[in-house]
Amino acid sequence: MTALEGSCWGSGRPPSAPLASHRRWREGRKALALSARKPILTPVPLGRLLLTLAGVLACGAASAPAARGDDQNRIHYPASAELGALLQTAEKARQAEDWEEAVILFRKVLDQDEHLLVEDPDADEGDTYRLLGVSEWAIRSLRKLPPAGKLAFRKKYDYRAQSALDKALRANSPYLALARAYELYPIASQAPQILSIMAERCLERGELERAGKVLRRLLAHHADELEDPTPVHKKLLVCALGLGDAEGVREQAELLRKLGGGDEVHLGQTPMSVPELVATALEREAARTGRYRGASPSTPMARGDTQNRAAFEGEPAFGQVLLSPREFSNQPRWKRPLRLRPGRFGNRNDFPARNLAVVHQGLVFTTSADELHAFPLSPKGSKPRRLRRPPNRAPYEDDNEKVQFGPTVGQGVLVAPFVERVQYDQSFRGIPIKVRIPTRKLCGFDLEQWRWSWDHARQLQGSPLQGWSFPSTPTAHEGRVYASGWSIEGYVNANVACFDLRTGEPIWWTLSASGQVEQTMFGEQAMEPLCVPLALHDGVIYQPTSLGCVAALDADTGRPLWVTEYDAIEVRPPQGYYADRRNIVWENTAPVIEDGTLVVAPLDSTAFYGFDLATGKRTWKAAQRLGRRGDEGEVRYVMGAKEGRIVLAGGHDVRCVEVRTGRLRWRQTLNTPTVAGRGCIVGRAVCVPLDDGTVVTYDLMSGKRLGSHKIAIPGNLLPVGRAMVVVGNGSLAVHGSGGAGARRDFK
Amino acid sequence: MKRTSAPSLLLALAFLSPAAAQEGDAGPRSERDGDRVVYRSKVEVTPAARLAVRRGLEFLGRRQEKNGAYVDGIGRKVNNRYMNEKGDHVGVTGLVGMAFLSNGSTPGRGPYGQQVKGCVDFILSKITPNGMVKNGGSRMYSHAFATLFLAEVYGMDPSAKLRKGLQRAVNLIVSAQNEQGGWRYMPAAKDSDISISVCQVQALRAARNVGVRVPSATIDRAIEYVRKSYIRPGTAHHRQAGGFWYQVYENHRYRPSRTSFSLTAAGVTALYGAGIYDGEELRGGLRYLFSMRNRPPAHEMRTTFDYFYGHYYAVQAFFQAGDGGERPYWSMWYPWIRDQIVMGQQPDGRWQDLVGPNYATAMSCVILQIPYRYLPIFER
Repeated sequence: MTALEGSCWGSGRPPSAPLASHRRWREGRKALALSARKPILTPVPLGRLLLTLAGVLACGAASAPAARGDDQNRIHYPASAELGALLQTAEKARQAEDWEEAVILFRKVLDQDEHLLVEDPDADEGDTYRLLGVSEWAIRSLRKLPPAGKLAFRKKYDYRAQSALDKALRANSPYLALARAYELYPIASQAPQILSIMAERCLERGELERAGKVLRRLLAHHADELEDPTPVHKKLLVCALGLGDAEGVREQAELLRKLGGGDEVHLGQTPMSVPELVATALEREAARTGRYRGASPSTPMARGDTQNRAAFEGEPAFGQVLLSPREFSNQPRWKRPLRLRPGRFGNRNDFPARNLAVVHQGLVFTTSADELHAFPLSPKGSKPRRLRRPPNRAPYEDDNEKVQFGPTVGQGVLVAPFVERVQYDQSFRGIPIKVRIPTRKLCGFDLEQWRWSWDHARQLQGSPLQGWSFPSTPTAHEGRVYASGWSIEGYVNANVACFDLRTGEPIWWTLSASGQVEQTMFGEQAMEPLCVPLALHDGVIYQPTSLGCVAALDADTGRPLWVTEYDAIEVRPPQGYYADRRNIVWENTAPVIEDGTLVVAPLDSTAFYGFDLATGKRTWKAAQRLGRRGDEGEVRYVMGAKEGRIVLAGGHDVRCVEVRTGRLRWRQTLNTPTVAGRGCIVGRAVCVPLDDGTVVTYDLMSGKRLGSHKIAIPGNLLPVGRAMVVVGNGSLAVHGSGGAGARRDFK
Repeated sequence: MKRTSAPSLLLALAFLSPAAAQEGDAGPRSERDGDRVVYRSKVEVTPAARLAVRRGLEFLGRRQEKNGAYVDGIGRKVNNRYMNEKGDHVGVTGLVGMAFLSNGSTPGRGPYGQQVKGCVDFILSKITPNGMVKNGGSRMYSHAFATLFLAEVYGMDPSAKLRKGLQRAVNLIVSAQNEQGGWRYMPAAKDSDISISVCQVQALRAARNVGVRVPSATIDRAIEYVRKSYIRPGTAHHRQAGGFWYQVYENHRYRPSRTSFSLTAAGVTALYGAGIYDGEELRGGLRYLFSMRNRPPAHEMRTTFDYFYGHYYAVQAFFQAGDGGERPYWSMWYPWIRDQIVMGQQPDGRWQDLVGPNYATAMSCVILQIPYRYLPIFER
């Protein structure tokens, strides 16, 4: 029996039943006096009662998140029992082939959804607890309708869909309005048209990945409604060409060749063969990543791409020092120790390094809690102009080891979080009441005009996002920036927000889940809530909430797709006067996507997990520590992924596991030195920086040690073109590829 | 069958101070209802109390902000102090709204209809995405008072917007219950205390009364928690027997918490709110409350933060107990507290304590108006 069945605490009232009166309350109370928890049936229209009650009983678990899980930390989801009941009833109508009833109910759910969740109906027994977005369920079910069902939908809702389409085209932000219209009418006659217009809009703006996603959706769900799929495939080919996606180009070119019946593909007026198209794509990709001769090298994401794989082509460059160690600091200037020249290794005890870097047109950018720093990629390169401190920011010394500092770049705008204000600690006779918790807000820096272009500290004043903090590195992608943030509203909320990259204006924001962290004796949060970066893949945002669950959201509208729980470390009550902190074993690790699997090493867990991207089902779990007693090996973060392998490193251990199964493929143990930062995978070489100032490389497939290289400073590695940027705690250096250089034949 | 013994009647007579014997007080009377002797209270609101309520409500009517909120100290008790910052207080706004509702006003109707409407609008505007009613540093206390108010309003003037907000606020209380079965300052905290738990139970009860879904498991666990907090006679802490512990320490069996008049009033009211109308805990709790009736003393009304809080629950506990139990509790208690509170009113109609005048005045008005029985949560 679920938590909801026969419950309702003596009410016997289904959730959507009409209002109760005091007279009814008095009647009910007599029964309550006899038996405090016996259901009291109140007069409700019978048909409505039966229909909804059936849904509620079947749905039950929709409210279960609220009353479930004594053995774990409580998680509060934005769940809706009412919409869950409606969905169950709609499913029953669908099974009974009552199409009209089914489509009305599904549409009602779509109209009422406010980014809400219900328990996943497809979850098997033994699966970890999983929820599904309300709209996602309705859309999936509507797509499963047979032609008669779709006809019923169109008969009833086509005119509304047309109206929504017309309205969307007149909206200030047509793409967002069109995406919302498609969510509301996913099987209307206008649905393919809506998707086509969305794709056109994206192509006009040069948002090729987004256009590709929309076109793939068009082919997947509306292929039978297209008169001629050739234009769609041509657009997909254009997208793949622009993105330098050789595989995509090959696939689309072959398809077009088959559809056209010739050996060549006509894009514009010049027919091109498949190998020519692939070569063009490779050229584009090389130019984009800076490996093409004459191009300005760029790596706009701190972990390589939006999937955080830290996987790069080419060969690792640990040759001559292009830029000798330059010092910056996580501390405000007035607190820095007086040093005559930069130290060789910085502060050795501060590992692993918390600063991440990005490279844009030959300049390296990194951030600290309150400052942006820029360096040339080499002394011969153009020197950056003087940087102003981010607006509305005060000096702040950040001692939270679980916070990473890093910017992201997109369309000539750099975005990074900086401390806006601080809740300072407060105590009573030495007993903590409040602890120091900084609120971090995003700032946008225009790299072309070399000035701060927007600032959320001021911009979000008075908005619902006013109290939100965005401590992790954001993800910039095609004109938008996505950021994971927390807010404290009794619960600690895990949120995701999407902003316009150029202006910083909010586009959408979603609450994924709420939970709790350790508290002081006075009931205040005893730590800054944990936050890790997001991953973005194929139009879906993946967010480890650090509150016991992982969430997936639609990148266009913020609609939740699924939420899956994992085994979190228990939050303990205060011991006497002081908070009892958990032992957090992982460093701040971004989720990694590889081969259809999302790999997450949550800060609030002692294991790492693989989740199926499409369903959110947990496919495997592996322990952070090995050995029978769990005392061997100590990986601290997921380093990167490539070719179906995930590499983890930290402490004295480097480990490689299969991404599909989580099975250990190889493991290397380091002796004296320890891992000093986030490494990367270049070609097939796994590069692991150590605290003795060396980088050791291993073969990705076999784990065989390939060699080691001396580097200027230990820290996080970022390959860019033919160089390697190393960012330590408070210092930065760049290595070149040496005399030989990395050869690259992109044809 | 329950009978009241002669000594308890004598005690009751002795307890009623001369000040209590005002116009309208006829003292307890026994009537026979079948085999049972039932004490019918004739002790209700006196003209003096009516006047005090009127002046109190007028004071509150003047104090509402433009956004519908009431400003008082949002904060926490630290030792004997109340650390706070002035701000729009959702909890106090809810309590003030309850004071108006207790007088018969409803949203848009009655002498304070506009004020009630303002309170509703303000509270609805402060429901956060996760369902918490929150403004500034307010916590679960305020959330519960605001939810209780919304539930009472919904019973009188239902609307879809109110229903939605109320359900979300109730869902938060349900999910915020911890493993112990109680609640604490923040949702889903690992420890709990009886003072906050009673507010949540009352809010859930009021919501259930108007047809909002509340899982029975939540209430079962709350009852279990409150019962665990009861200090049974014959244990090591026999001096406090009949009271309710502030906190229950699962892992520290021999570590005592503390008890007080306010906490015991909270415990007893929580049991009544959860639908328990008889039992050892209730009888013991009422006895304890009765024996502690002068703590906190009336002269500390203005200099403490828990005088009104304690009496708010005590008066509900005795109201629910009525006159049919071991003693004619209600008839003995209400005149005494009524006169004590009336005496504490200031010339401009306010009452005052460390939290603020709006809070103290609202609490006083609610306590004084309980006999009106306008609110379902205060009905027997």
